[in-house]
Amino acid sequence: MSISENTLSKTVAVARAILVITLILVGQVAAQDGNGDVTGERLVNARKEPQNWATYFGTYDAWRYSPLDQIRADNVKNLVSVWAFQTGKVEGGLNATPIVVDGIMYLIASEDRVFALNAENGERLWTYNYKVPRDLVSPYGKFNRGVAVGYGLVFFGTMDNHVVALDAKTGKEVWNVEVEDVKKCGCNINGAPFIVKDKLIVGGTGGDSAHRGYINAFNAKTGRLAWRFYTIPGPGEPGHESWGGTEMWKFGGGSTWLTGSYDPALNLIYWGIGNPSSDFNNSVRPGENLYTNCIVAIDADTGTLKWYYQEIPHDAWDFDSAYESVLIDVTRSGKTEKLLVHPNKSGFVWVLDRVTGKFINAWPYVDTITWVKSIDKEGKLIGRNEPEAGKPNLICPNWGGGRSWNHSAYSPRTGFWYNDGIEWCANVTVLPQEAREGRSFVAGNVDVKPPPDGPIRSHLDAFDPVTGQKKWSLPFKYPILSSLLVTAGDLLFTGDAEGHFLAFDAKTGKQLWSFSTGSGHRGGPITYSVKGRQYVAVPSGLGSIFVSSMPRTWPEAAGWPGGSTVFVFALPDRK
Amino acid sequence: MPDRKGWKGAKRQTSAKRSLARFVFVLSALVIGVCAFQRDGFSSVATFVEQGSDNLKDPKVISEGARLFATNCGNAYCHGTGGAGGGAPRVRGRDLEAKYVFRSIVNGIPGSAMPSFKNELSEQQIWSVVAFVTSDSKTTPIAEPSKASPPVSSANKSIESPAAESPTLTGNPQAGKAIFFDSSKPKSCHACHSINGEGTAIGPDLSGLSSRPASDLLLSVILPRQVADKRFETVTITLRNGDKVIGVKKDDDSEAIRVYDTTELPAVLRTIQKTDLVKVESSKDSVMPKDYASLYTVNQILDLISFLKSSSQDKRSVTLRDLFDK
Repeated sequence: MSISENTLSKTVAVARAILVITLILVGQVAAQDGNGDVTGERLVNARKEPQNWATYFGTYDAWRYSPLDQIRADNVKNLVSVWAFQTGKVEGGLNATPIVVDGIMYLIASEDRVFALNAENGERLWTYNYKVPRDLVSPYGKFNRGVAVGYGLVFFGTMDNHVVALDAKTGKEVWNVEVEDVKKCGCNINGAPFIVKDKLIVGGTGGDSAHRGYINAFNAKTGRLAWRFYTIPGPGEPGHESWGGTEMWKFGGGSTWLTGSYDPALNLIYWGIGNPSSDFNNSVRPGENLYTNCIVAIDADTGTLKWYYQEIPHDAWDFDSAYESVLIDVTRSGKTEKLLVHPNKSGFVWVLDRVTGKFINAWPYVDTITWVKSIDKEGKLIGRNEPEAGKPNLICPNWGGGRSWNHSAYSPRTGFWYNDGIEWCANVTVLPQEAREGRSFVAGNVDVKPPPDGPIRSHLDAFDPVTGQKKWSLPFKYPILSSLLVTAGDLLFTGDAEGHFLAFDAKTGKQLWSFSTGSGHRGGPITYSVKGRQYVAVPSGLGSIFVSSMPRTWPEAAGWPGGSTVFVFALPDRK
Repeated sequence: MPDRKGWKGAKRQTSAKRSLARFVFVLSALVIGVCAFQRDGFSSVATFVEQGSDNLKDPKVISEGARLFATNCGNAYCHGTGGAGGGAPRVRGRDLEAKYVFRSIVNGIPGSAMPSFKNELSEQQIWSVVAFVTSDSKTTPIAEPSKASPPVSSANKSIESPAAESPTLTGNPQAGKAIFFDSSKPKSCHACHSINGEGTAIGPDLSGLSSRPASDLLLSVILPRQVADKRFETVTITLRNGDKVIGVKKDDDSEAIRVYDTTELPAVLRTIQKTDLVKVESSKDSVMPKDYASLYTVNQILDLISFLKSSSQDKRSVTLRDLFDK
């Protein structure tokens, strides 16, 4: 009796195991065939689906790393171009990072034109053209950095400050919410939104306008506003006093113009907050000006602040903290630390404990820094060199940043964090300006100058992300304006401003391959696979605020051709 | 120089001829002025035509323009120091036509980041900027930073001043404007209404209400009534899956109907494919929230109504009494 019962229970267990395995297999096949839908849960495990590039940074930790390793140092020279897709309008370039889910690529180009493409052959499945109002004055350009995909929808922000959801199968509009009238706020949305659980998290531009920044979370399926986190505390809220009792909390910027990171274990969204405005004249806003130039950790469900760390209090240099927050776990002396590695425009990388927000380290990623003498062991800025009214002051790096917004990459295989840097300065003069809601509120003039020790120059580097120890460095004449991509094939990909798509050995920095695409690179290269074949895709096409200001420093850049094309590469098909 | 001589010659005309010439000049300036106003919404091209380039070459005008350019146009994200280019294009040394520069400053350039300066600078100031932009970039010095004097007034005064301090329960239009456009409140007016070209036009546009009695506006705010205009009727759409969408119709075509779902604010514009649709019903009820009487204080409502009426020629403030005066 007891024996037969035992046998029965074993049989049930085996049957159950078979059922579970079958379900998993079916699930995987469904996912590969494109029948599976992207959900918040699936995005948490995005690294386990290396065939996809399912969210803006590839994964929530902003590594821009792919476990795909078919293309390696020893075969990258064989890469061939398998397809290209031209979006048709070059003004505004191609700043996006494409998203690939289950063999379909979703791409957004300037003026909020969205495309779904067969990721294997480039065949166009649908096109959506956003109706940009004819009379729109768009303060932050025509470009867009990316879409989010999930729950059967494709999401993006628009030039006129709307958030739109399209049916992922048909490209038809499903919902559309106006966040704020552009004419009132002088802001719009050109950063990529991303999905956390059932919500769509969206930032916004506006940090150089008289505007109060925020992060918005929408219910992804319905478009209902779920929460809003103001980057400047209002009256009665903690931190409001850091605006010195002035009215500048209404106009102080603090925009959220890029994309945040997310730690599912802590349920925290990390976001780098932009500069306070007026950018260069900080005398109108006495105090620390919270939460500008902060990393904020926000509860993903409620939008409430868990902690913040202010990298640069009372900014006077336009040194946004807007760039990516890279989430890295490091084991040191037997203890695993959950860290957040954050490059700032100012030429420094801040390293924080991402559980508590405690300062760990700050180290320079460029050689020429004059805006501050040093940063001490507690994270305090020592010897601030602020711009003044009435006389130009040489500030290095300049307002363009020790690098631009294009993103870094981290490889868990090499343990290196890859980043680019620009050695340049500017004579900055404060020009006090009156705040007018929604209007430009910069209050300074900037003349780009070379650093004291030589010409303006750039570099691509590999660092230890915690100590800042340099592992290798490659010189470049022009800034790298494309994001970086690193793969388990130990390859580092990026594009240069003249249009070359480049592959390097991630361990040594040796250049292994190059392909000329005809226009400079400003977007995010990605890698994905379809039916077992690995592809590398790169957007080509210059355009952005940084790019329009280039000819002043590099007159030859005025002659560089625009573009808006995705190029896709793979190893030759052996079939 | 021959043209100079000709001009001097004109000065030697008899005074009668001069008066006639002056009359014709004023008349034509008026005519051109009216046309220019219709075209640009700004009455200045006439002045340009008659002022000619003499004024634009006046070093004093250019220097004033350089000063204005520095604070309004010359920052790093815009046209850069002295107009040499920044985030926006270089504007000096490009032989730009003065008329084109003037129009661009007045109207902005839709489709680009260039905003209109109609409400920021006076006509004369704009011409000074034009004079600077079209001046010789090699020989004209740009504004010295020390001369680019800071504007004195502070923003808090220009945007909002608290009405609470008023002892007589009188509305403050500036405070009312801040309430109308308060983006931190989902039910703030701008989420569904536009006024003077700003805000979101889901419900009626609220420009030009200056002649409406305050008491009438009060009722419209606190006791939304049936809508008279078909465009703003409540539509209820039943979908094939049983869901209902309630709100205000924006438009439709052969494929889809677009509806502002106003059941919660901010409204969500939903595109409903006609293949997913079972039934569309409409009613004269207003979708406007019915709880403004409890959301705002009497003072705030006074401010709001003062703002709605603020384009009136009658500059008398709206008082508590006006709210009940039929």
